Amino acid sequence: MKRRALFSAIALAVGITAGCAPAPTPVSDVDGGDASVTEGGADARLVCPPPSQRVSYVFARLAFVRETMMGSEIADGFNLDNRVSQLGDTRTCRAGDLTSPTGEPGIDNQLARLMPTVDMMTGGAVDGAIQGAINNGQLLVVITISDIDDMCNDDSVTIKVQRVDGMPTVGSDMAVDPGQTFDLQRMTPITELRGSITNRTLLTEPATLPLPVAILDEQFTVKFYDSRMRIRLEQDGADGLGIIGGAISLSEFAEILRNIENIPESLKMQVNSGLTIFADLDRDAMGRCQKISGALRMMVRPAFVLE
Amino acid sequence: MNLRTCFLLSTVIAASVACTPAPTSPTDAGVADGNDGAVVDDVPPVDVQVPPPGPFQPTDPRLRRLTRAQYTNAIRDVFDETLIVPRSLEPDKRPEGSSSIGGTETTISQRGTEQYQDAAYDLAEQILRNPTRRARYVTCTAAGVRDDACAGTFLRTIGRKLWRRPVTDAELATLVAISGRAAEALMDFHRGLEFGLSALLQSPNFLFREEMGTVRGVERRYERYELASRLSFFLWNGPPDDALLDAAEMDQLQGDSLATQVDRMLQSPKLRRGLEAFVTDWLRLDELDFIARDATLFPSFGADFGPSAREEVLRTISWIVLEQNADFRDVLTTRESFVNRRLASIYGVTFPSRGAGPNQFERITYSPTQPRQGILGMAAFLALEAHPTSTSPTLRGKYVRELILCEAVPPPPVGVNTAIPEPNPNARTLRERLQVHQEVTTCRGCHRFLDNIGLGFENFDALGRFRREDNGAVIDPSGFIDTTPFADPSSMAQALRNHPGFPRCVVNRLYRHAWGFKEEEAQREEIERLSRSFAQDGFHLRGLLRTIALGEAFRRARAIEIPPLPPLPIPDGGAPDAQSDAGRDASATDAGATDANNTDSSADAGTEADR
Repeated sequence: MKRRALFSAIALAVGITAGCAPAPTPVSDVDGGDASVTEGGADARLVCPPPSQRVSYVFARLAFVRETMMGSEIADGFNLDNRVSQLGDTRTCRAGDLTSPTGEPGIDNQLARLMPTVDMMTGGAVDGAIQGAINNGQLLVVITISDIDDMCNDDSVTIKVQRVDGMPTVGSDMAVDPGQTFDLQRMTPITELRGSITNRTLLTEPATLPLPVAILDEQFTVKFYDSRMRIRLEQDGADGLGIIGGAISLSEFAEILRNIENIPESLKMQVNSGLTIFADLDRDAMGRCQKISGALRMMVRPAFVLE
Repeated sequence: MNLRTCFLLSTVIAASVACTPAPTSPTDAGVADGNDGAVVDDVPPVDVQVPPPGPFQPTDPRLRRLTRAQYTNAIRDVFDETLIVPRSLEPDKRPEGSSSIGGTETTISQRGTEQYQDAAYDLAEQILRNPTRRARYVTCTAAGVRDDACAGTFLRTIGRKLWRRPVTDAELATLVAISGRAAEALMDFHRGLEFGLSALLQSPNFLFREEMGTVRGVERRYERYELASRLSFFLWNGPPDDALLDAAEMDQLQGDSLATQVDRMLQSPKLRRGLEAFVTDWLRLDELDFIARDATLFPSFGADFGPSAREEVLRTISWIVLEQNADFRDVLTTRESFVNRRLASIYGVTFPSRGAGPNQFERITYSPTQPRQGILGMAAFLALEAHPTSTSPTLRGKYVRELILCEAVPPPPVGVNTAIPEPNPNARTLRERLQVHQEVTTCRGCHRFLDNIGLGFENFDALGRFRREDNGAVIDPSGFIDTTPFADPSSMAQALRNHPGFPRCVVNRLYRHAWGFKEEEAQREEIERLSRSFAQDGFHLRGLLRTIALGEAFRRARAIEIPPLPPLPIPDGGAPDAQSDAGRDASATDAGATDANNTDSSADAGTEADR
């Protein structure tokens, strides 16, 4: 159980990003008594939904990206450092980049290499722990997209990432049902991002995203640096698939581990060692990388946020 | 030509027709030729005048078995809401889709008898073994293990409420004797009283509504206690309260006094219960307990879906009728609805309350641009009339024809292939795939009759969720109802609201619900009268309920001979004094059958006590 808690923490630290933000701008995506809906109106025949002031999606499913096959060097993610690094590249502490399933080179996602080892140590419990936290309402993260002129193509939209509360209903697919209303978690700041929509795919600009995580008995905040999201936005409540990537600071994560009780020191050392070995970003003057890249695959579903 | 006419005509002239169609447009009369079973399309409409109805003739008096809901309501009204009423009871029968009609056409099976017996003992235990609850109903203190006077006081008081009329002295003597013998055997007064109470609960006088009528000239009339029960089960779906029983006892259920009682009942919170019973029966909402969906295609479907969907319909209609006192036709077009979290997520609407539990319902208002409105935009209808894996325009159209417009839809011809093609590049939407039915002569008439309505709901999937596309193709939700075209679900709802068949259908179904039988030609005049009254009153359902409750027809029954039954045997004590029965309603002599049955249940109770 302790190992599961620890690696869940790692998982979340690497993947999810939300919460804290420089400007906790209030979100108001509901309009009081009237039903705020995602259903089509008079222009329901448009394949591309009509412009909307704002739409919200809850992270219904999250799982770490792994190499498509062990040693394949293929894994999804983002090119966080805008470089295509080969094995031995000193700028990345000798870590070589991966290639995306669509053939894009330069993917920074060293956790994809580390996760199989983590799976062996935890019996593959990491993703399950994350999903469990989502399904029981501990880890409900909602993104709200506003300033939308065109749901299919819009070069400038605003994205807010926020923690919400609620006891979600979970369907037979073991994921949070679409269309649910959640309560804004007032104590948690909101992160605001900029982004664009191209052919229904949302892409956010790089930003730092801190995520307050509550999983099992532990609560902590993990910062994701240079984080970005890419999500295919579907209509009429259909699932949106996407990916979120970024880098976490080894020192910050070590501090988090230090404060988590009930994890043996030996295990903490193992984790820190693993992360250090695979770290690939933010090389310091001593030639050591201070951050490790990673990505999570996600499924989002329409949701509402009640302030 | 209306559909009823078409159906009657086609029944007469084409008994062997494969699919008797009703006209779905001015150019499609769909009259069968009656020779080879084929349907002749595109013949000009045949206009047949329906003869005006003859004078109203009442139907036979009957016994009506309590539905499960009525049984539960009766127990909770007589005792208290906290009692746990056993659910394993004889199921309701639903001929013509109505449990109200079923109550008049059924009896009790052997298994049902056992279930009622078990329920009676269970309830008696709950009532008499809990000292606090017992003190509420047993107001005397027993002088010993056997105290017939105290037992008699309890059984007479409770018996009047449960049997909805005074318990005669003879009946009381039987019940007291049962209690006394059981008390002696068990050496406990209250344990003995349980057997007397369970005898009351197993009696046909409780399980059946005795509506025999009293002979008045050439017909029978429901008066006093029978009328009180008839009114209370119609308006409240439960037994008369003390005030109504008192009015019956004083023979005040006539004239202005009757109107006073009916008006009181129409203002009671129990009216909601009566309204819900009617709506549940009319719209077949009880079937929502049994729907299933493919878990892969509809992961949001859960066990709470059916009850939630039913509650939405009931709350919305109750709100329109009882709180808004609005035009009843608004149930088809209202933008107001009541949803819980589950339904809000399926509809894709914000649930407007923070921290609400799963069973909390809140009122929401759809904007005029949104496609969902009225009861036909609710999950109850949309999911009820769909298959586990897909929608069904045919089932949805049939529902509208039969339940909203009260039009007869003939069953499909025997042996016909009802399969529709799988989606393919040339036919992706259900509209395109159903086109095959429009091209087959034997299918065309009925499917045009049904599908042109049902396809209007295609923007809602088999769970009631909104969708724009079906298999990647944009859905066309247009269609027409008879001669009225519509572009989408909203304009269809408006067309149905304005359809003259809808209010007539409501009257028809309410009539069946109130009388407990399917109308015959001899009752058509009364339905026409009620329909006119409904329209003149602005389609206010509360007014229609009042008109029915105060109407002469509600109190009339056909004069039939009811044979006398053998006298009631008394297990312990002398023969009953015939004179002591004077306090009972005159109609009671016609209810001897129930008394005879009562003997059986009493005997059962006695046997149980002896053990």
